[in-house]
Amino acid sequence: MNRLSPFLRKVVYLVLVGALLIPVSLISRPASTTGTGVGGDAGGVISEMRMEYRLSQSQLSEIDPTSETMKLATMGLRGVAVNLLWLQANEQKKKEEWDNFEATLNALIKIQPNFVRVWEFQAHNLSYNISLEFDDFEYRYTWVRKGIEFLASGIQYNLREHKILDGLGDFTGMKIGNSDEKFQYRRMFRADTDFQSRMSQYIAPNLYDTRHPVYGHDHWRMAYWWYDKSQKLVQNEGVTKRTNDLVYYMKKPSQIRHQAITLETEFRTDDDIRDIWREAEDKWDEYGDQRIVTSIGNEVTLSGLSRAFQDVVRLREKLDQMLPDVRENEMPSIYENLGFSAEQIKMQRSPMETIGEFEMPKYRALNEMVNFEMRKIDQMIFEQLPPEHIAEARGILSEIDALSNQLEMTEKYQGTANFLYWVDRCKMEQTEEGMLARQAWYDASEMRRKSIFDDEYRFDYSTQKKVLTKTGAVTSLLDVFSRYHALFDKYPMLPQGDLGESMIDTAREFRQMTTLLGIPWPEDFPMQDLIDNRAATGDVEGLPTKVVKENATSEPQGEKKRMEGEMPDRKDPSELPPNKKD
Amino acid sequence: MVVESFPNVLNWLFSGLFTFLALVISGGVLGIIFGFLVASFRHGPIEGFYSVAGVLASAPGDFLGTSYRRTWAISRLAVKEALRRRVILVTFLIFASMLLFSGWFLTNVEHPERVYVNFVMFGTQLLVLLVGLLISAFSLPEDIKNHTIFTVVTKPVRATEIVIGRILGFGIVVTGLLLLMGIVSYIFVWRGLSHTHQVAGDRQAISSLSEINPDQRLNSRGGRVSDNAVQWGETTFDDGHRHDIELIEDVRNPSSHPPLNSENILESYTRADGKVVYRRVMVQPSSGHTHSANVSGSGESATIELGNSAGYFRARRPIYSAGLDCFDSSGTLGGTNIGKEWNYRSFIDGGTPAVPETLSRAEFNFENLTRKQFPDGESLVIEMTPSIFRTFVGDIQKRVIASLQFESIPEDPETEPKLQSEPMILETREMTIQSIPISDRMNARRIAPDGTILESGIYGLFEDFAGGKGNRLKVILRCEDLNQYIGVARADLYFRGQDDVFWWNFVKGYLGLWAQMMVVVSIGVALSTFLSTPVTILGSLVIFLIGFCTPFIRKMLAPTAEGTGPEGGGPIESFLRIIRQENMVSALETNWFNTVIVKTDELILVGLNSLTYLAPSFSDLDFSRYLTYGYSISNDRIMVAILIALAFFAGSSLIGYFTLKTREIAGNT
Repeated sequence: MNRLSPFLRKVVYLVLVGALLIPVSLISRPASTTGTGVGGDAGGVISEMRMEYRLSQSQLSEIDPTSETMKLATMGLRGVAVNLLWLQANEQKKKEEWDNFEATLNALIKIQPNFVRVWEFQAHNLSYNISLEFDDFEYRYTWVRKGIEFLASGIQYNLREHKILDGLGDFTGMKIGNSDEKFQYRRMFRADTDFQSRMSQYIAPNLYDTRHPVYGHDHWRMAYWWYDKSQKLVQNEGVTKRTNDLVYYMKKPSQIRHQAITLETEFRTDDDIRDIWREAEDKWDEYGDQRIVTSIGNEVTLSGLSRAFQDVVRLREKLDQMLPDVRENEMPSIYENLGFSAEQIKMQRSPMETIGEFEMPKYRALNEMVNFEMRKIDQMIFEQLPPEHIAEARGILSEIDALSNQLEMTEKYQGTANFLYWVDRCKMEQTEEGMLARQAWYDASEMRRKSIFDDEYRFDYSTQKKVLTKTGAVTSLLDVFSRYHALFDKYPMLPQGDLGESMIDTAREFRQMTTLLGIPWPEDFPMQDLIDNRAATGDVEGLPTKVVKENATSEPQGEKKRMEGEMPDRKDPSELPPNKKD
Repeated sequence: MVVESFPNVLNWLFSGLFTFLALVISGGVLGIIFGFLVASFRHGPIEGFYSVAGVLASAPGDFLGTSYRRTWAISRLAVKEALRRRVILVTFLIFASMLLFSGWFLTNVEHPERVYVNFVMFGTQLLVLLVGLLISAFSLPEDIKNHTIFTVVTKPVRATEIVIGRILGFGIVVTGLLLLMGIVSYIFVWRGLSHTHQVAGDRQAISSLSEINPDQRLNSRGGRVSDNAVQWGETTFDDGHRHDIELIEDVRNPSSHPPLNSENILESYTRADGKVVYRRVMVQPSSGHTHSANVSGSGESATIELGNSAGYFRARRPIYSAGLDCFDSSGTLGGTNIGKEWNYRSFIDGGTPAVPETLSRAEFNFENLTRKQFPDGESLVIEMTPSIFRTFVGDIQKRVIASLQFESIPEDPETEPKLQSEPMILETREMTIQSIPISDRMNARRIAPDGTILESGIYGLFEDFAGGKGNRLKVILRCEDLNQYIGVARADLYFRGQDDVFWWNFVKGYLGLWAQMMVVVSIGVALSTFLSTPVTILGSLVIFLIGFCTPFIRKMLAPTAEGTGPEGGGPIESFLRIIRQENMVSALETNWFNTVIVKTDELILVGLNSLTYLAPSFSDLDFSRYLTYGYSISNDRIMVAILIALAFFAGSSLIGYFTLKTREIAGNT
């Protein structure tokens, strides 16, 4: 080595360093956007990969200086810092140091801002777990709101992530609307204009509107807008959806009917609430037309069941035309093999619209069994066809197979989403009868709340008859049951959903009141069919079913008369039991 | 605020003195052995022995002969040296720039005062400790390396004077920095939190307030209103919060004094029953503070002007009970476990519908309670921070009901009667400091030990209830709601004494930082006498880490309920459990391999435990919590902090002296 070698080595090193800087800068150049968001530079390879895999803020304009500073300040020990902060957060939660817990979360999220699960988990922690640690509902509401705001602040770090928006919809809708404190929460939400205006900045300040002209701001509407934003992100901006279609698309339209249902329980139903039901139906119809990719990969629409069914019938008719009478001849033996009775055959051959709620499961089972056999007949016809029809028939068979799969999945998905029930429910609630029934129910509930169970009368001495002055909860509820019984006949799907459940619950309340008043269970109780049907499958504990009623002993005559609006027989004072005092 | 220890300086000193002496003696013995081994290695065992003996023999003379003048000269030198390095200036500039931009991140929080105080305390702590570490670690090794130390050691200066002088000198420098930062921080916090609002609405007038529905007693935002509020409004949203404004009706007897603050009175009139009603505008607290309201004019057009923020800077002086006893429903000591992981609070129940008569209660036993502890002996305040646990939601709009009862504590309860007040029913308020005004005279009855009521009447709290030996008083808290629970710890109920002055409390908070800084400087100087700068920094950092993690390390070493060592075993056993995917509680198989592991772990744990004495627990010297929650820092805590700093100063001086003595450079002196 000569004396210059160290110097030369340094020069070589410098040149190498300089040369390496060129590919490094090419690879790691960050992306940038123009002020309008149009155009700009996609950045280097790493930046492109970041963009492709949605790893972090890949554009300079998206970088949060605080977050980046904190990440840099950990000097490569981000993992250690994250672990320490998680431990600290857990300890603070255990020790109920809520202010410090919140501060720790804010630091934690600055150094791992792109982990969506962290946002979801900690927001859930705030809204669901910590809010319940407080005794005062005002504090509880504050912490529910903190959770929502925390999650919303995660949007800016995860612009192409719909799960945060879905979470915001869930929290805003379900947490506020389904808690034990929902009445208080909703009341506070209505007046919380600060919170609403902050959230509107995240959603879409120009479009967003949660205010009903009569009933004020509603959190279900805000939830609706969160889901709407999520769907726009998926549908318009090509963001990958990471949840199944059925549930994902169901959430948005459901919020409108949640609003209608909640308002019905809080206020006496009127035309404004009917309008909300109308909107709910429109949204639900849109959901019915939404193409949904099933778990087996085919696409279905929930409203497309009858169309697919008709298509299958049409295709089979086409097949039958190629070789007439085969199916008609085979059907009796199929029914015989399946052991169908005449009644079952009649039911299976009936159009679906004519089937009542309680017969629907049986109807579906019969059709499934027959359809399986039908496909065998399709195959039989295909095998007997002359050669000139083979090609066409093969196509028809293949179509029938695809449609059969579609039918099967549509039916399953309809059941999961309770689709037909909500179709009927939305329609029913808009009718005049539906509104009157709901008003009667509200009035009866108010009577019960005020503990006015029995009817109130005055005695008209001129006619020696009782004159009704106020209808009590018991009589009002009987009217309600009659009204809904009529509606159930008209809309056979209704007893299958939460309305059926609510009727059972209300029947229990009715039972409690009648027991308290000593009134016997009505012989012709309008919801008796519902109770008897539920008795086989569901929980109707505390309610008299058919069997119980048959075994029941005779009723007190006086009570029966009272129910009929007559005065009980006056007893001769001499027949009265002796006074204890005497 | 959670308070887990209630130190008394004398108790602390005497309980810790033995440990301290044991540590000094064992450290000394180990030091002598180590010194002898090093000397033997260098000069042979006999020479080594004489060398060590010589150092030990000269130590008393050196310490006793330490000159204040020479020590002060070394200190001044250290100060000059530190200032010449401009570390102080740079640090102050960093701190100033932190304050300049921090305003961006400290807004829109629920308790800004906590965030502000935390921020300045943490920033100061970080910078001051860092500076203390750097200047103490760089000084001696650099001097030795550059041989500038010879300018000192060639003078008639003792090693003690070099070490103590340096510690004091650097201490003075960093104390100056701390003082400067403290003053700037105080101004920053005061200025940062200062704000005002306007009345929301078009006009700054009473007409901006709306009537309160007397049936619902709720404001337009769905929240509760005060019991005597008749109108409600709110302020504008500024600095991340807004306040409720209420027009309240303050009803007083004609003989009572009118409200002291007359500026917020809209009008006053006399009711039919002769009582005087003052209609006053009150701004309700929010985010830990409130504002004064100034009403001018009359009727609907009267204008409201809101004053500056008030109430942020408090230094409550709590008078805690000497002990708390909780009883469960059967009257057994210990309270009820409601399944919380954290056992800080004990829970008392309100009975069940089946057994409504519960014996569950919390008894706070106060000692030395006298009238002079309170600013106004007539109107006293009890403050409470209970935790509520509902077994069912019940009526969520109603708060859980509790009762307070006062009892005297007779010297001999078997023979002497006791005074018992009527229960005072109150609504609990969780997660906030609930102030309960009480009178110093109350209706009570004197009860004999057999339960017979001897007499009843009005008795004085201090004279009659707490008038006995030791001025003892029992305050009994009960839950009065069926199926609900109230949780309390000793610090959750206290009499509020005369408040401390905030700025003095702030100074006390900084005294905690000063103690930490002195510990750091002492350790730094001691280590720098025998280690190079980087190793000194590393060594000091390790010691800090241990100091900051002391509670965590001790918790890890804490034995399980069965007393069988830490949960999951020591480090090796824990590691094996992790890789074998075993849980932490199942017993290890008994075989030779596991026995070796357990025994090795025991040795490691002893070592780990010893490490925690290398540095003080910095959490004991950190008083920022008291400042942020608005509590006065007790003098006992300050004394303890100063004693800890002194102990480390003494220990570090000893270590520094001996190591410097054993080095050749010091040997020449």
